[in-house]
Amino acid sequence: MVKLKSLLMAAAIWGLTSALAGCGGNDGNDAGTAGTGGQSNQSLAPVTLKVVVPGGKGANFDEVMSEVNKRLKADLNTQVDFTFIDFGDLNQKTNVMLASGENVDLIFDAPWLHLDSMSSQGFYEELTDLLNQYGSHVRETRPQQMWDANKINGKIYGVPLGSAYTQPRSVFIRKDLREKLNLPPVRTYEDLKAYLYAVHDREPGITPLIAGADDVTYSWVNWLVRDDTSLGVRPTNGIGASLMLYYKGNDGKVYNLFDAQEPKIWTYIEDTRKLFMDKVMSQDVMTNKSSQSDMQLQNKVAATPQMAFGIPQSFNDRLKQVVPDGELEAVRLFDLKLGSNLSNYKMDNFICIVKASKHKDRAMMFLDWANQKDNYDLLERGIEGKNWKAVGDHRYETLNSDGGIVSFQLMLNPVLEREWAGTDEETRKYNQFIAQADHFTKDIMTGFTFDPTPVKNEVAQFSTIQAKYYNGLFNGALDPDEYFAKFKAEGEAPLKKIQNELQKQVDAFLGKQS
Amino acid sequence: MMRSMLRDIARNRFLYAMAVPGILFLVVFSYIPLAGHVLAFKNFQISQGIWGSDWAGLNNFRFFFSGRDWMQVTFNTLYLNVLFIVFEMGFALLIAIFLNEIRLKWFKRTIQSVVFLPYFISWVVVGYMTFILFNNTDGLINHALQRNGVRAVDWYQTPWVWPIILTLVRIWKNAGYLSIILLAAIAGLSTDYYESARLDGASRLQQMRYITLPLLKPQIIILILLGIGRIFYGDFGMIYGIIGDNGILFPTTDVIDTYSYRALRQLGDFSMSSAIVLYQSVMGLIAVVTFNWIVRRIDQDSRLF
Repeated sequence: MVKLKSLLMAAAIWGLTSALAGCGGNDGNDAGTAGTGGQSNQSLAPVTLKVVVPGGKGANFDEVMSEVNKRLKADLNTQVDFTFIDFGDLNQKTNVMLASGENVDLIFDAPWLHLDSMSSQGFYEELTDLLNQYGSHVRETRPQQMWDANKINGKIYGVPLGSAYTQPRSVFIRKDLREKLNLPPVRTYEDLKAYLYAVHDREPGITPLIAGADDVTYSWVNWLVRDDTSLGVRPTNGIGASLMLYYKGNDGKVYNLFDAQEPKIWTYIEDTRKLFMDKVMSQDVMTNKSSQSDMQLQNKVAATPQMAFGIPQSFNDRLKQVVPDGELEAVRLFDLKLGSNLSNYKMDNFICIVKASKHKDRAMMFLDWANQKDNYDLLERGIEGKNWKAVGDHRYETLNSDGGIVSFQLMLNPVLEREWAGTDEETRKYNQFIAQADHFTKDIMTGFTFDPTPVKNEVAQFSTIQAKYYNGLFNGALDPDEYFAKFKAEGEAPLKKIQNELQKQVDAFLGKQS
Repeated sequence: MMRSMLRDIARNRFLYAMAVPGILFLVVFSYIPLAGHVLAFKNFQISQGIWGSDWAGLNNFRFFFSGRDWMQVTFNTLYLNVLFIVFEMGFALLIAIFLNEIRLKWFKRTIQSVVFLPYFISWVVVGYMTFILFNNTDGLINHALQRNGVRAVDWYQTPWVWPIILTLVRIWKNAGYLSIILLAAIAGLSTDYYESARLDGASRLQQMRYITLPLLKPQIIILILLGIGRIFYGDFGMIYGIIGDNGILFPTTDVIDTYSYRALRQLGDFSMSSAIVLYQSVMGLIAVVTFNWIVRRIDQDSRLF
C-alpha cells in the first residue's frame, strides 16, 4: 500500500512542482496559441470517448468535468467519460480491460506498469499517422528529443507525459528540528547524517529516517546512488529499478552487482545497515503501512525521501496542524553541474490509444484539444478564477485547495505546465535545471528498450528471489555480510542469464546506432 | 430407466426448475472456464486470441519449477492451511458448544454477535491492526512487554513466530463464523437424546462428549472438506494484507498466491499466471480427493462423494 500511496504522492508533487521549459528560456514554440487548422464540430458525428487513468476524483471533479464536456461538445462534438483506477488495482485492472477487449479508447500506461509488453503484444495503436493528421498540438508541446527517446522499437505507442528529463528528488527534513538542534543548513550527505544522529540522540519521540522498502526506487541505497554523479550508476530497468543489474557511465556494458560488487554501492549498503543498527533508520522500514509522507506529516519521522525539489504548501499546512511551529525543508543532493547527470529523456508516464478502439481519430483529436493552453489549464488546474489564477503565462496562484482533474495521466508537457507562484528561488533553480534537455549528458542507452520475452522465466524467478533480500539489504534491515551471500547463491544463475540477454540486446542496439 | 427419469422430471418440473439457475451458474463460472487452462500451454497474445497463439509446451511452468522455492511455498501453503483449518475448527466447536450451553438468551446473543463480527473486517484492515499490535517502533505488544520488564521482540524480523500469529488472526476472524454454522446444526439435533441421557444420569460434559460431538461429525467433515478445497486459493488477501512485501518473513509465510503475484506482477504474462492457476487447481483436486478417501476409510456415510 505504501508504494501506491507514495506513487500517488510523488505524482501529486510532480504535478505541483514540475518546472516549465518556457521559464528557463527556449521560448518560441508556444503551441498553446497556434491555431488548430479547423476541426469544426459540424462535420463530426457525436462520440463519447472512454478514458482510463489512474488516480481518484477530486472534490470538484463534477464541476470541472461538466465544463470540460461543455467545451468539448462545442469544439469536437465529443464527450469524455473518465474511469479512475486506484494505483493498487492499476496493473490488474488495466491488464484485464485490455485483454478482454473492453470498450476503452484512451488508456494510461507507463514503463513501470506494462507499456513495453502491452505495446509489443499489439494492444496499442502506432501513433505516427494520427499525430501527423490530428495531433499538431500534441507534437509541438513536446521537444524532438522527447519524441525520439520515447519510442518503443522505433515506433510511437504512447504520447510521453512529463515536463522534465529526470525526476526531481530530495530528502524532506524538519527545519524547526534542525534549528532547535543548532545545526547548520544541510548541504551534503554527511550533514544529513549529522542531522539524523542528532535527532536520534536528542529527540526520543520521533524516528529519524524512513525510506520506502516496498518501492525499490525509494530504498535508501538506491536513493543515494541516484544522486552520486561520481558513480554514474543507474538501473537497467530489465528488472525494474533494481540495482542488481546496472549501467555505469556510457560504456555500453551491463554490470551485475553479484560479479562486480561495486565498492561505492557496497559502502552505501554497509552504511545503511549501520543506520538501521543504530536505530536511525526506522525499525519498521520493511513493514510500514502508511506512506512516508503521512508518517512525516504526523510528526512520527524526521526525514523521508521525496520526489520533489521543494516542499509543497499542502505539506507544511498539514504538518502545522500537528506541530504548530513545524516546518519542512528539502535537502537536495542533486548535482547541478552541467552535463554531470545522464538522461535518457525517457518519460515516466504515457497515454495510449487502444488498438480495439472504434474512435482512434477522435481520441487523437481529444488529446490535441487537451494540449491546447486553455483546455490544458482547465484539466490541470481546474476553473480559472475559482480554483486558480494565472500569474503571467507560466505560473499560477492557488485560490482554493481544489485543482484540476488530470495531469500526468493525460497531457502533462513541458511547454504548457505552469509553476506554482509560491515556489522559492532555490527550488525553481533546480526545477528549471531538469527541464532543459541540454543540461544533461545523453545516455548512450537513449531509445533502448529491453524485451524480456526470451528470459521471462528468469525474470519471474529472479523477481521472487530479489523480493526476499533486496529491500532488506538496501534499507539496512538485513545484515549484508550474511544475506548478500545467500542472495547470491540463489539469484546468481537467473540473473546471469538476464544479464547476458540484456547485454546481447544492448550490443545489437548500439551496433545499429553507429 | 431413461423414461422413468423423464417422467420424474415431468412430474416434479417445478422442483427441477428451481435447480436450473444454480446449474447454469456452475456451468458458466466453473465448467466453461476450465477450458481456459489451455492458456497455460500457450504463448498467449491477445491480438492472436486464445487459439491463434503459439503453443509453448511446458515453458510457462519453468519459472516456477526450475527454482528452489516452489517446494517451500507449496509446503507453506499446505502447512499454514492445515494450521488454519484445524485450529479454526477446534475453536469454532468450542465456541458453538459453550454457546449452546448458555441459557441466558441475551447473553448468548451478545456473545454470538461479538465472535461473529471480525468476520466482516477486511484483510487490509486486519493487516493494519496486526501492524499496530506488533510493530517495532510503537507496537502495543512490545509496549506491554517492556512495561513488564520483558525485552521487546522484533516481531517483523522473526519469521518463525508468524505461522502462530497468522493462525491466531485466522481464529479470531473466522472461528466465530464457523461456530454459527455449527450452532445451527446443534439446534437441529433432537432433544430426545439429551432427555434420555439425563434420565440415565449423564453429566453436562458427558452429554457434550457422547452426544453433541458425534452427531456434529457430518457438519464438521463438510466444513473441513470445503476448507480444504480452498487451500490453494484465497489466502492472498490475508497473507499479502498482513505480511506485504517484507521479504524477511517469506521463508515461513510465502504461499503460492503471493509468490506468483511477485513473480508475475511486472511481466503481466497471462500464460505464466495460468500455469500457476493450473498447478493450484490440480493440487486442490488432489487434496480434496485425498481427504475424501481418508473420510471414506473412517466413516462411509460422512464422505462427500
